[in-house]
Amino acid sequence: MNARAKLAWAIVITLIAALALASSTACGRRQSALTPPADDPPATLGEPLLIALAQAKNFHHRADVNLADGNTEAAIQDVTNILTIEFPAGAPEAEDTLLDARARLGKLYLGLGKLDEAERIVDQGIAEAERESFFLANLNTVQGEIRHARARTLTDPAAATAERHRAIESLDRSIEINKKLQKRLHEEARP
Amino acid sequence: MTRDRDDQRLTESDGGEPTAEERVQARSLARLVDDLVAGAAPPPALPAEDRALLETATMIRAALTEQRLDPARRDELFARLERRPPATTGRGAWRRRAPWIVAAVAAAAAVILAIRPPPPAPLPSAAQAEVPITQQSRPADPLIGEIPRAASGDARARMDVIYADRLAGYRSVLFRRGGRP
Repeated sequence: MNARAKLAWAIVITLIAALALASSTACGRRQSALTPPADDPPATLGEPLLIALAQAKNFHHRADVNLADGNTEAAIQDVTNILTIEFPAGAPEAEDTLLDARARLGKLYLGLGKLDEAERIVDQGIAEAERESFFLANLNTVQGEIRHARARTLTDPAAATAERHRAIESLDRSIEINKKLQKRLHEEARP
Repeated sequence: MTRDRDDQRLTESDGGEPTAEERVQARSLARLVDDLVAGAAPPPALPAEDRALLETATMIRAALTEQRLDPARRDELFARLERRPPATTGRGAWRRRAPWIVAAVAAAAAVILAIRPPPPAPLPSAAQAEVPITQQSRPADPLIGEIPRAASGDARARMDVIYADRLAGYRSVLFRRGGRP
């Protein structure tokens, strides 16, 4: 095989590789166009979602009754039950409901002075959140309250200061999320 | 006859001088070999022993002599090859052009695939496009709005609002479907 033929075959191989790359890229674009994003399109409201929401509502009411009765532990159990409700997969209301239940649980534990439990339940909710929402911002607010409460219990001034700084970070995150969402809602509301 | 030859071989193997008859036979065999090498047909009738001798002698001669083309013939062949124009048609030409043709086709296909716009995203189905936003499962942010710090633990009140809104939406869905869930 002479030099020209070798050069020609080298060009052929290079171009075929480029062709395969371009083809795979085109297929990828086609796939991404056909595959809708996880949060799109929205599902029509259905009975399973309404049942799940009704259960959450009823557990909250039950917790109210227990609190009125002075039984905070039972109220905590009622709100904890909300975390086990089965929602339809992908329903945005599910995350909103669960984050709000965690916020209430955090506040209930905080009222009992159980800061570790309060922080655990709130931190877990923040870590599992899949999108920014007013409910996530609220949970960050509760996290800030818990950290502030912990700072007050610390006798070491340096540790207390550090904990207060952590509380401020949580509250700042809450403010940031709220601002971003308000701006987005305002833009969506414009004609 | 065979006995005579055996006697002659014994004579040669004994180291004796070849006889006149042996010399005649040798010259006859040499002529036959020369004729055969020159392209002549072997004699139609030949004793088996002589034929075997002839074939052996022919092979030995071919192995020991240098077989070359006649210089004039060789020069003529080279001259003809040099005069011959490069193949522009036929299999030779296609074989030489094949890499370039494949390269050109591959390049064109790669360019087309690279610059071709992606296919348009499929439109939502008619059923989905018709569903009003109030009848869809969606985030509750626009409904609840920003949650004040003082109400951070008031999840029950927010749950009531969300449930009432989604229940109204679900009733609209049922109404649209004629009561079928």
